Amino acid sequence: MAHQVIMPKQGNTVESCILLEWKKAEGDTVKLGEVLCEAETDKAVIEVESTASGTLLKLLCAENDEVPVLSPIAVIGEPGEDISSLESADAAGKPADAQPQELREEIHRKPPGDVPMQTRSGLKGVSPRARNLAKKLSLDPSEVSGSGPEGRVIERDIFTKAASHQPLTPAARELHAREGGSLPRHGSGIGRRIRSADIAESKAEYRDIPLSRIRAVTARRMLESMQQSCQLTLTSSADASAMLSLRKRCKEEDGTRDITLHVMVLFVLSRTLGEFPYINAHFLGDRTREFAHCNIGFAVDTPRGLMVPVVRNAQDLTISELAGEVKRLSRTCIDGKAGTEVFEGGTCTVTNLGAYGIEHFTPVLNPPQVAILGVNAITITPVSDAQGRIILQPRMGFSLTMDHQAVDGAPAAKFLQAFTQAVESVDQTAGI
Amino acid sequence: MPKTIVVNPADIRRRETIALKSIPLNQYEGNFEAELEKYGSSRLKRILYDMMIIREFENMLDSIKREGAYQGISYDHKVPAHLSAGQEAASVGQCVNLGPEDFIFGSHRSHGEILAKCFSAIQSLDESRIQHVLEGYLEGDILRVVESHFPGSDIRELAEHFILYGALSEIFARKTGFNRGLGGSMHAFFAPFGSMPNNAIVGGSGDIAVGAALYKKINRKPGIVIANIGDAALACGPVWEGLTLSAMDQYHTLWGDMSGAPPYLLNICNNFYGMGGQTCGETMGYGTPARVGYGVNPDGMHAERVDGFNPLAVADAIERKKQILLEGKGPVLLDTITYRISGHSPSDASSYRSKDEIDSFRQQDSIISYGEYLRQHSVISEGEIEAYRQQVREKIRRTVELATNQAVSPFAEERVIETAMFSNQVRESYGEGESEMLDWGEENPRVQQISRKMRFAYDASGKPYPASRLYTFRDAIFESLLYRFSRDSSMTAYGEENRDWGGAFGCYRGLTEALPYHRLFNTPISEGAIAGSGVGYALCGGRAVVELMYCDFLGRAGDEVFNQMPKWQAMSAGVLEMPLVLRISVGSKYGAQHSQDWSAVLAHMPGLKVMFPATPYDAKGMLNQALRGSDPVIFFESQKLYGIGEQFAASGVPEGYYEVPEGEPDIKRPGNDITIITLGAALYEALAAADVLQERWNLKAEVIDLRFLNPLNYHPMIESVKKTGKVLLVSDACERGSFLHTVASHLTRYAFDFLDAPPAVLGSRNWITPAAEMEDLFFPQPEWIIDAVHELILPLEGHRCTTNQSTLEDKRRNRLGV
Repeated sequence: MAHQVIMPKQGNTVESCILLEWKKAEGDTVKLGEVLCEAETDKAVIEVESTASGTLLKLLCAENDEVPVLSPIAVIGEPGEDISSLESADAAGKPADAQPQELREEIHRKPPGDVPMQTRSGLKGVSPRARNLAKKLSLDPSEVSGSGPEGRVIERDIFTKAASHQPLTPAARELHAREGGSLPRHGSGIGRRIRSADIAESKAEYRDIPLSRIRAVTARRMLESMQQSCQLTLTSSADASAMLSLRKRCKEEDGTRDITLHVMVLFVLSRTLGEFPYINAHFLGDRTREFAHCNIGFAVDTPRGLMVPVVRNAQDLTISELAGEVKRLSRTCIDGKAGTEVFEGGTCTVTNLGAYGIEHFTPVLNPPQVAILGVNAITITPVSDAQGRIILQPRMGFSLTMDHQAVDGAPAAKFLQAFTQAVESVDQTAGI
Repeated sequence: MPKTIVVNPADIRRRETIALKSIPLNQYEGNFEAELEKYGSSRLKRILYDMMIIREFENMLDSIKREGAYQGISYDHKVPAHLSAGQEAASVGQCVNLGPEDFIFGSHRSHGEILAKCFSAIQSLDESRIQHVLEGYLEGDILRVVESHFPGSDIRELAEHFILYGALSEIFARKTGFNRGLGGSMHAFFAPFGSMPNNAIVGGSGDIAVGAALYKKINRKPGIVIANIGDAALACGPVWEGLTLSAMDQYHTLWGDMSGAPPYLLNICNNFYGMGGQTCGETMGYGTPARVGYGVNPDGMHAERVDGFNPLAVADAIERKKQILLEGKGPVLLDTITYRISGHSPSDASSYRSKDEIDSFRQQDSIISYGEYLRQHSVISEGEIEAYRQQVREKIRRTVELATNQAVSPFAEERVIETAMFSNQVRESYGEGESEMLDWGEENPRVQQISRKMRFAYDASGKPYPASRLYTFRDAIFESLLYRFSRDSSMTAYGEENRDWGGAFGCYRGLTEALPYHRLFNTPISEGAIAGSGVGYALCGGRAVVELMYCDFLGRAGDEVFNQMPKWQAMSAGVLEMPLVLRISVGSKYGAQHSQDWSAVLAHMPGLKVMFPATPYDAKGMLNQALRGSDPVIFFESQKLYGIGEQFAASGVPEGYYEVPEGEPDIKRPGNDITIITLGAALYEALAAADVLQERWNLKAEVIDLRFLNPLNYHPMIESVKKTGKVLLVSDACERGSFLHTVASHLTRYAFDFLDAPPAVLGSRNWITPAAEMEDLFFPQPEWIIDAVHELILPLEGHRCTTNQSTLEDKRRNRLGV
């Protein structure tokens, strides 16, 4: 009895995957657990394993297809077996129609003007100029009769054709003849005639880029975040002298080189959150949920877009362990190899734009988390010392966005104050 | 055709005989006491040394060519070498009494002459002068190698090594050669020491050297000029033409205080073979080349045969002949007998001569006999000769070692060749001092006449002026020339009917009054020598304007215009400049041999700048541009246009100086619908066609006059074709191989995506030019242009063709070759 392999579900939020590459071909013998193909979710590249042993009788999806999770992708059985009832992807829904149309990249669709020369008997050819003009005007030159030497389609034939389909005012026709370019489908003149003003307007140059999977997910989540929470951002700063001197020390030895300013912030946060459970929490509408452990997410900028992997039980990690974990997670995200579990279970999030010199911003919450901490650049700031003298001090800025539904300003400010104080003595607490 | 010289029927019909003087053959009698007195023992020994090192140099090349090695150094030399072993006494003897200011030009077999001339100059120049020459040559590139690897004991030995290394590096095509390896064995030369370009075309130096002698004469420079050519080269037309040019009566009858012939000596290096052909007994009939002198002038060119096996006999002859030349009594012909023991080239199996003959000449080896002569008179000992032998072997070995070392002597990069093609300099004057002018201001009749003419063809209301009142194309040529004559004191112009007649088409009228004879003169009907001597004049550093009365005569000057004029700047690696303008008139109404436009042939030749103006404004501005440059320029003029007025520059042709930017085509009439590109006189046919296109079909043609063939900026044409998508090209040249096909091909490549039809090229029919009455069958007419547009580019509503410009007809004509 033949067996259907289905696209597995990857975490709660994944609805479909893009099939990247088949590792097996029809007719190959496969074993249970062997990798059949690679697929890309919104966060990671996964390997789809065979759920049966036998001969790969049929591939139901092509590379680059977007496949809804839980729909069949292949049929495995004995050679010669009748699999007609299993061949159709319809068995579990139509992958081609199920996907959101706007997410498809239209790279394969040919422009209408780009047709082979001899598409119609009797056509003697199209001049390069006519061909290019037809492309611009979205016309098919094979539907145009040529008036050039030996029946060649020449520029004026395309103009004639264009004029017959799109009524232009005389001024618009002259403008178009002079300047070329594409025409709007219809215009604002009488009977939708195209006026010269319509042509001028349509000349604005832009480019449509379809959203990638990750972009689309990010877009949706960000919008939901703003629509469903009540966000307020508090800003403060801390003397960064202790961080900088610790960083300097860390850089000198191989074992501690990965302990960056970013890691120190995560470390201090992991040690501070325990005292402020209302920050290390989720807002669930009718209740808040405070966590005993700190699973800290941190934003990573990858070639695929923004990703937020999570360091689990950060409160139990030494700073060196934390540094190793941050490095490992960042690398898997950048390589596109992170599994969906990497992104799940965060209790609080850090986002760091300090490296780009950003001095203040308003991070957007990652619901249902109650808080997200933004890390800003270190700036040299005049402050007064104990003797009241003005001195220059390196200070790192922090922007804490919290959900006002879950927590009020004053408690959040208390947290931020405790956090910044802890930052200023990180060299004492880091234990190295 | 000066009226002062009268042809008298009584004189020419008188019964008379001409008695020729006898021609001396090998008359030198050695007198050792006198020779020792004259040269001193060290100079006499130096002659032997020079002969020995030249022999070793040639033997080395022979060994490398035949065995791929010399003294254990292996080298694969890919290029032929024409060796002169056996001819050393002739070349060294020739240079004994020459100074650095004396020039020698040579042939493909001139290694010995280059070395001999340079070694002689090294002995006669003072040390600081030598130092200056070596340091300044090619930015010191050769000197740096020699100084660090092969310095010698003093400056003269350093210079000797410099010459050996520079010559061999050149032969081996190295960047450290005299000409960065761009000349090679057959063209190597070293001008600072008077060794001038050697020529791979047999007899090629025969007229170039006459131009060099004219340069010395006209610019009052010291020294004489020798053309060393082979005995077989006397059969070459340009050699004969050069002789006639060098022997013109006018130097004595008309040149006034510049009286006297140019100091030209034609030295026949008579080795009795032209390749394998025996000039005495087989391929020539002169018996003795010295005899030819009486065919040239009443002095018989002071010709004599010299024993080229005795260097002192040759030195004596040159000394006596140099005196004659410096007195203005030349030209001189020497028949210097010699013998090459080596073959014509490495591929020569000596199938044409017997071993006995070669052996008999080995018995006469000048190095042995001259060495023995010195030894007998106790000038030198056998031990010293042996020491010389060791020394020259060691020096040549070291030279080979250096010249074949890729690290020390690399090949030139691509950029070196490209940048050597043109010198692109702005030279207000190549001469020194004031220009010698006669009546050239307001007192000049032509200047007066031009001042009354209308410099734009139409009056304020757009009505054309009558032809007689127009400032014309030929006036523009005159003005440009007159200006540069007044600025550049080195400038001279000559050709057929240039003086008195005023040029066959009137361009030079008024110049006769403006210029002394030596700056404007008539030549024999010798197109080869006219162009070739222009090359020689220019490469010496003087500006020359020479002309071919009809383009059809270009064949007569083929070698000079194809091989000499374009090549010497690059073959010298930019050591030479070539400020030579060759005016070529394209005819009409004169039939098949007087009406051809061969511009494509010249545009094809690398190293030429080629211009073809079609309006008075362009003629003056372009000739101005050509006449202030440093490159060889072919300046085409159409005889259809000499009488035309200026129809485009509304403010008229400027009276003052201006230039048309080089290589820029000109839009003569702007338009959006079709581009018509023209070259030469066809501009006016194109304008007539453009009028019809406008009137009948409301099509605005953009008419672009190419003006230049090379260099050429395609940008304006590309922009026009991008705009119109349609292009037709038309000129009076025969269609097959027309330069416009080159332009069309480039435009297709540069603007393919914008084309609405393939570019259409119109030219004259591929026929002989018929008589004036039938020329409309031959030259492109306005209706041909309309018909071609209709047939090939854009069918015109309601048009009925009167000629057949169809593709089918074109194929038929091609199939028949007509």
